[in-house]
Amino acid sequence: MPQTAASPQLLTVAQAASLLRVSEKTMRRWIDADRVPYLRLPSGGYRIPQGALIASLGGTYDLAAEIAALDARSGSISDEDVRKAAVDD
Amino acid sequence: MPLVVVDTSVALPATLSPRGLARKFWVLLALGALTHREEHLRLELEALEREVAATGGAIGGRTAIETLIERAGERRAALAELLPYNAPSDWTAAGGVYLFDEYERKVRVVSAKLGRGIDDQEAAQLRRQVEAVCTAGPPPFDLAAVPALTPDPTDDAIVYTALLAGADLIVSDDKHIVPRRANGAQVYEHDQRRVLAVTFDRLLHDHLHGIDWDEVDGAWLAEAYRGLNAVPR
Repeated sequence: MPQTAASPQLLTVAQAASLLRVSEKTMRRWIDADRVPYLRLPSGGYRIPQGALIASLGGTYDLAAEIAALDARSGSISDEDVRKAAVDD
Repeated sequence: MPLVVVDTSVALPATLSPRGLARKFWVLLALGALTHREEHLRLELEALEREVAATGGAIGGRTAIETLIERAGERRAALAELLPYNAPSDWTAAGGVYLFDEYERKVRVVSAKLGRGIDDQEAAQLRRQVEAVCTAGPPPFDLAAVPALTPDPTDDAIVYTALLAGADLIVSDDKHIVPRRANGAQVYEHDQRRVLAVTFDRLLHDHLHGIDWDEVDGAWLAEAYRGLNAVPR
């Protein structure tokens, strides 16, 4: 998942597609389906807010359930255990 | 708003050790991520509205943006309520693809050494936890353009990520990034950019002193994200 710039960025369709590594055709399909927020310009072009684009497409994952399940598997692993295991890598 | 890059030497214990001190710091970064997300989305909506006012046109998906802002605000308030009164809400983590790739590579190796082997799905889930906290990032850059800053080229990419992102701090227990002789802090400068790298202990002592970490529960990380991404289509 790409990260946002420090200030709001309005991307062209090509820039948004490049950021997410999808085709422009896919990006236009998402716009047509209102899957991503966008600004429709009077010229017929589009501008896509970068942060809202990333946030809206992150909706597929349940991060809360994922970390709860991961923690249940990690159990009593300590910081020190991890640091020792990582030290030689 | 302190902007920090957290190296894998701290991100690994933060994600793999639910009750450790690194996880408690991670919960603080999750609060910062929610604050950043809410503010950033609000600024974006305002930017869209200015564009409409200036040039005409129309905003599509406004309800989705408003819902994202509302959910981030709700989660931020819920997590802030749990954390100690003096826990800052504006610490923002920055990351980029090289940091995430390096984390994913190492988490597989370290998990295997811990006897807790992970499959591809879990590796992707752990990577998402790191990506979720890192709400800011540098502009895209080519690895070939990364200057030699440390004794390890892999670490150079991490330090360069921090420099390009405009980070204030790198948090790292990697001796290549914060040499043992540096007494817990090392300054990096390149192309008129500057960042201070500190060990995790030094971070807590110098920058986050006064917080009662015993009052922080690593399991609250789940609270940060509960329902956050459930945006109606």
